[in-house]
Amino acid sequence: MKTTRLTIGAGLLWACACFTMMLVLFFGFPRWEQACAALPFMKINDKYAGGPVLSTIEHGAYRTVIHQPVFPALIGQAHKGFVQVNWLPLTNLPPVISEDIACSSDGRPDFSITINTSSGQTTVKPLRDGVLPLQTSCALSDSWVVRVALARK
Amino acid sequence: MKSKRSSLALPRGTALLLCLPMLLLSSLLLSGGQPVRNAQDGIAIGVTVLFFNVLFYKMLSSGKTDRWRATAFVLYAVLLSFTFIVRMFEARGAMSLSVAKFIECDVPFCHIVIPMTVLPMALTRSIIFPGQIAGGYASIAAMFVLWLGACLVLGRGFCSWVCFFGGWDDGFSRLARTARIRTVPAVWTLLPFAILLLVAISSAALLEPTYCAWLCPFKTVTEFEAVTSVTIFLKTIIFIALFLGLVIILPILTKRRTQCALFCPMGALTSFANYLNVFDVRSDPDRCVQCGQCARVCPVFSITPQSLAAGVTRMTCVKCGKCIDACPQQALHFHIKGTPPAWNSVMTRLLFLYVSSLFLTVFAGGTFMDALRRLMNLIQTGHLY
Amino acid sequence: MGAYCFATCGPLLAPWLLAEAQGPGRNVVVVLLFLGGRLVGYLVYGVLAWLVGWMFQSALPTWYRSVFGCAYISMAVMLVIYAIRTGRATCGTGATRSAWHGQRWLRHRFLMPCVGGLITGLNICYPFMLAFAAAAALPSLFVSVWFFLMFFLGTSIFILPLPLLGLLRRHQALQTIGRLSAGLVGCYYLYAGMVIIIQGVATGAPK
Repeated sequence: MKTTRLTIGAGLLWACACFTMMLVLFFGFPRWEQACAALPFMKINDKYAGGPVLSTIEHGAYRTVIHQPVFPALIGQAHKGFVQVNWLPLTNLPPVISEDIACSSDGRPDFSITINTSSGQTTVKPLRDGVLPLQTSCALSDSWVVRVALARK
Repeated sequence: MKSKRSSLALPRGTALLLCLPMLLLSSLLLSGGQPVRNAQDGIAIGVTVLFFNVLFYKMLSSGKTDRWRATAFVLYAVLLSFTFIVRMFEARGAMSLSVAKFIECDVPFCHIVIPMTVLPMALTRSIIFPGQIAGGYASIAAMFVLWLGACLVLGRGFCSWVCFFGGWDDGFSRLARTARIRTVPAVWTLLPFAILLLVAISSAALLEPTYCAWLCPFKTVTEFEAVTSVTIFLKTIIFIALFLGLVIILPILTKRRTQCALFCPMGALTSFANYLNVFDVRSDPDRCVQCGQCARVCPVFSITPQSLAAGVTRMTCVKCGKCIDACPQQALHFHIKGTPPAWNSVMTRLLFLYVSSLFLTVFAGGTFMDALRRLMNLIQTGHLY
Repeated sequence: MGAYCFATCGPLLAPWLLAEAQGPGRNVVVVLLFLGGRLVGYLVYGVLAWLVGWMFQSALPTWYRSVFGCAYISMAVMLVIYAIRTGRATCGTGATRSAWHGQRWLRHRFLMPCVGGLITGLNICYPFMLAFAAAAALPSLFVSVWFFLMFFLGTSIFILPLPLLGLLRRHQALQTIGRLSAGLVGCYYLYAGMVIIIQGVATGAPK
């Protein structure tokens, strides 16, 4: 590249701008982080986040939070997915939880689940087609979570 | 044979004077502008500021870059692993990640995941990683901002001045006196780009960061999935083998940064940032005698006979300064695009070092201070946390 | 489902197209040959699905997976050999020539894409298994084959843009990256093939 006074000046200006950018980045870092976090694509994919909440069922000392079934795919929806159900708070859960869970649009129970919160033993009984085996059942910091695999109708 | 004094070396008085802005900025940024809360904090901040500024002074006064940069860079990698592991034990009592942590989206995010998130981000408008978006330790937004900022101001200098894993193979590459394997076929230097292509496609298809799940060798020194199945056991074997091979054994045998140069997809992606960045490394055609010494020492194979003939480095240059320090003719220099080769090399180098050293100081400083606090805690109470 | 098929077939075809460094026009021929091989595989499955439905009440015997595993491993070997082939050598006049040593058939312009398409067509990814199970329940051979033909057409659309990779053919580095990618994809197929065979052996002979 042919260098002239203009290119030299532009290069030096650019180099000084880099130094300035760095100071702006570090001094204003919390703001930059918040601005980045507010961007529309800055949310965790439902495959990991579990999906938005579909319904909450109160049981007095604890409640059941049923999430919308998730069928994660790059484009559209996958054939297989899961539904996440949480029971919280962890400290108020009974020794055995036994409940019918409805996560589809017809409102009818899709599967029946029994959890021994002491031992962690969990059984899932499908009540319709498309309910597949249990993926995960474990205690989180503040709730018990279960993910049951589903196949899209 | 004693090497002659570098033409880039500054008189001590000048070097000290030029350290003052660095001292002021690093103190301000590392303390967060807040007064010191207690003696432990004061010592941590003071020692960290002193350490980095002494290294900066040595860079200016000696005219050499790489050995002082590497001192901080290697120590940073080791201390980061140390503090990270301690944090994991403090938070959950183990280095391993349980399923619960994945579901709670409480997995620390590192910059190496970034290439795998781009395609899914564009198509699903979400991040395919179970981490925290903002706040907390190693949040996703924080890493994105830091990486983008580093790319703009340093290009692939990120890999020599910022990356908290690069210090591992940089350190091991300096252990042996001579290289046992002197030649590595040039084709392997394109392997990181092939890996980048495949992990980007596979991560998008599976909505899972496949490099992290299967290949990342640095899980050995940070955290990894708890081994609860044959598949996870296989993954564990793979990443430990890659760490041993690419981070320890090959760097010792070749005296090069083999993980960074021959494997890391993040390095491949960040290479493109060298086109955006104003700083690069050029050789002065009037001084260069094509001896090839720079190509022999370059840790990331970024100097070839063809690039040397053209007076430039390849796009994979990490701006570590090793070639500049090694050149017997002092023909190589940090360079600002738009200026002639070797134009005002002292000022150019100074501008680059202000940017790179301050970035390293602020980025690594937090880890140094954390490590110092924990070590002081250990001395005082017998516990790391 | 098409995106899944692209993710399965793309990593095989894209590196080959990059490495061969042909223009978009030539690549159209390659992709059509690939799809042709894939079509043959799918039509074979159409027949097989009807046969299985007739003989085994729509359940593919699990030890047949070993056959597919072997197909994967063959593909893996082909890809790895292709990737580690000897590079180009420069002769005295300065012109370049390819320095193959006995693996010329791997670069055959018709054979490699066809075989690649056939083997990916013979894979047992989950969209395919769904289609297989559905087709096995269909009443006639013609309907079963027609079903797989439609399945092939619907999933092939995502592969059609790949010839555009020919626009990148001038970059020598991209050819090398394509070759290396092919080798890495081969390593994946090796792993996948071994898993399928082990699963097939573990579930045993047909009852």
